[in-house]
Amino acid sequence: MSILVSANVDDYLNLAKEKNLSDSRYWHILLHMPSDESEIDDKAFFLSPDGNIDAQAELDATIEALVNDRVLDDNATACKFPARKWWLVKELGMKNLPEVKCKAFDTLMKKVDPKAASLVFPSAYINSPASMFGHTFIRIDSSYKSKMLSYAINYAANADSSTENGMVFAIKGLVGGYYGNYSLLPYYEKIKEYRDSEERDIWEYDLDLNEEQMQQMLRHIWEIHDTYSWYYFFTENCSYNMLWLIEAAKPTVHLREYFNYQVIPPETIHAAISEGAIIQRHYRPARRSKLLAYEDHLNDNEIKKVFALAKEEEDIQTFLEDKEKDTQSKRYILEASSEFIEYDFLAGDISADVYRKRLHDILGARSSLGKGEKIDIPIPKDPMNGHRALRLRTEAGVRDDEAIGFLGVRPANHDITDSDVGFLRGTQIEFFNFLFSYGENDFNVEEASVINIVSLAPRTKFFKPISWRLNTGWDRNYLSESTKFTSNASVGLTWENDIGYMYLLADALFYTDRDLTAGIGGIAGLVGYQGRDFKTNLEVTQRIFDTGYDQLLFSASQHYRHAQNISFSLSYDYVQKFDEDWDTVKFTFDYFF
Amino acid sequence: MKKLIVSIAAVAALSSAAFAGVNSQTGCGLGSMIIKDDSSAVLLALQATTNGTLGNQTFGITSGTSGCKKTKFVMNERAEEFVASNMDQLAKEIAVGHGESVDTLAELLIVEDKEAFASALQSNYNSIYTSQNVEMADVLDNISAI
Repeated sequence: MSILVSANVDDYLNLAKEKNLSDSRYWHILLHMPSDESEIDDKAFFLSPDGNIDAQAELDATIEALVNDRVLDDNATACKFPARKWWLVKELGMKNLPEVKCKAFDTLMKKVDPKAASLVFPSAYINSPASMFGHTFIRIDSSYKSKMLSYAINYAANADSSTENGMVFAIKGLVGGYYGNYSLLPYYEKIKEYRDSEERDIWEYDLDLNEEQMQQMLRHIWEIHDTYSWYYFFTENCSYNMLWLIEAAKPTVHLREYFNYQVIPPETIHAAISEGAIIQRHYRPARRSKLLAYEDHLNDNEIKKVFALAKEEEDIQTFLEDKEKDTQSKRYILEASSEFIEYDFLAGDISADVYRKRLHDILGARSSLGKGEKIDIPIPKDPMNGHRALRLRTEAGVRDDEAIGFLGVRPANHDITDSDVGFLRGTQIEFFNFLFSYGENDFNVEEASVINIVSLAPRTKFFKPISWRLNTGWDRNYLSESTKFTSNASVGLTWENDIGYMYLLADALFYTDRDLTAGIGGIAGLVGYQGRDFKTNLEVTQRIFDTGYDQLLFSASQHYRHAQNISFSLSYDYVQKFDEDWDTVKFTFDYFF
Repeated sequence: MKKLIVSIAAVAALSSAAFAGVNSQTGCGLGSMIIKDDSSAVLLALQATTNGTLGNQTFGITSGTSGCKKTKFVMNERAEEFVASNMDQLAKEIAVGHGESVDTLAELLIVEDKEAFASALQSNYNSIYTSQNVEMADVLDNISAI
């Protein structure tokens, strides 16, 4: 018997060598090995002691273990590595392998029942520009028609942000100080997390994967679900690891190759679209988006009723019996009110007991009014129709009667003069935005911002957010000839209507020009839209410095979005410096990729 | 090198992007949604929740109803899990008379006519959600009695 088994092993080993399987793309996908070293740091994932750096040794060890499995339960190699087994059986025609009973894996397969999958992207939420970098995970759909019953496979750093301070957290995240772990949860839990708690719209991108491919994805998920790897925020992060899963299901799509040095989550969806791996898109509005839709249907008086009912300041019975109001308005008011009660509870403004009582009362009243009209929630522009993260900028113009050219590069991500198709309006986040100018015999760094975040969140009937702006880095917009390091912070308010938005901010800043100089100022801005592709930005700033000088700045630009990743603009900038003025008129060409 | 530069560029963002701590408040009754931990308003404004760093997430295919009162009439594990986790959303949708959660429940209970199901639930809201303290088991059993 043992002679027969070992002969088998050698046959398979030789055939695998003949077919050069250890060099094959798929074996490397299964090992998460981009070239010579696996990204999985857990030794338990490898059967050979050198398996993490030696694909051949790991292949041999896997073949031997599959043939010689002595343990036949969940701990069998075949049960721990079902994706490897499935592939090797196919490639090598392996027969008469030991019969194993994979109880845990079979239970998972039965419950998840994988048929199809989507990449899910929760978009930015209000007043958090950093969230536009976002997160992606895969939703695994089952035989159920309802997507709520799908499962979400999610990869995250295993860190407790409540016990670690932000800076430690950031540095550890960068250098790989946390383990990354997979989790599998019902999709309705993720909906609650993003749609309800974080108020983020959810976009779902259906992947072109069939049932057989999905089964292989789940087999592979099982192989890695209990392993650990160091988590790197910018490379081996949540979104990047989803690419391995997709490639394990369908090796003909090449997604990882789109990324060399950083993986910004939404960029993984752009890559999937480029590979033709996305077949359909769906939008799932956040609670906030739903409430904004109610706003459109309610007048000021009705908005007051929403709040009064949500806070038990108005008697529900009296409200229901009010003959002045039509039934549909009453329905909308009660519906919006129930959302607000939840909002108050999530914000910690009311206790669970108060929440339950108020919700129960309002919903009882609402149910008595019959079906009514569904609220129509407008679908925003798909984030995947937005421009890509990296911007190259070339500009030509005139500054004080002299010709001047500019070159700029910005690794990420978006500013408020860029086209905001696919982005949350009034939201900006820039890292290391560089702009160089070349005039007559004069080369200058115009701008080298480290980070520049803007959140202009409009005030609505329901929501009263504060707008703010933070900027630190080097620029030339101060009372000095040269480029100086500056930091400023602004806070204020934003209002919007159908044609655009306006903002008023108070500003505090400092910069170093031999001595530390501080200033305060006021900013007023206006952004107007002319259809999808045109927008106008106007901004005026008045500052007073502790040195006694004051300064006026003004900028105006007209932007035209020519294509998803190509824009042109024409701009005028005025900067007052002591008794001099700088006027710059320029034409800009931006290319995103 | 490229990698390093980009990484450094984003340090600043991350330090401000204190990822949201989220406490999952699971239960069997109303109020089982995920509560945001907004201990600091400033951090809240800046946080990214980029990667949803939740230490408490599991590879969970096990039942989330172990701590709940048992149903008397409805024996359907998936339906129990679903209702326990979606008590609030379901209450809202039943009151309004339509919605994805109601459709999902219809599918789980193998109800053919979803429209009629949603209408029946709406007109019986007060006998399903009989009080503010109802639990999953009450809701499912009450629905089965309609």
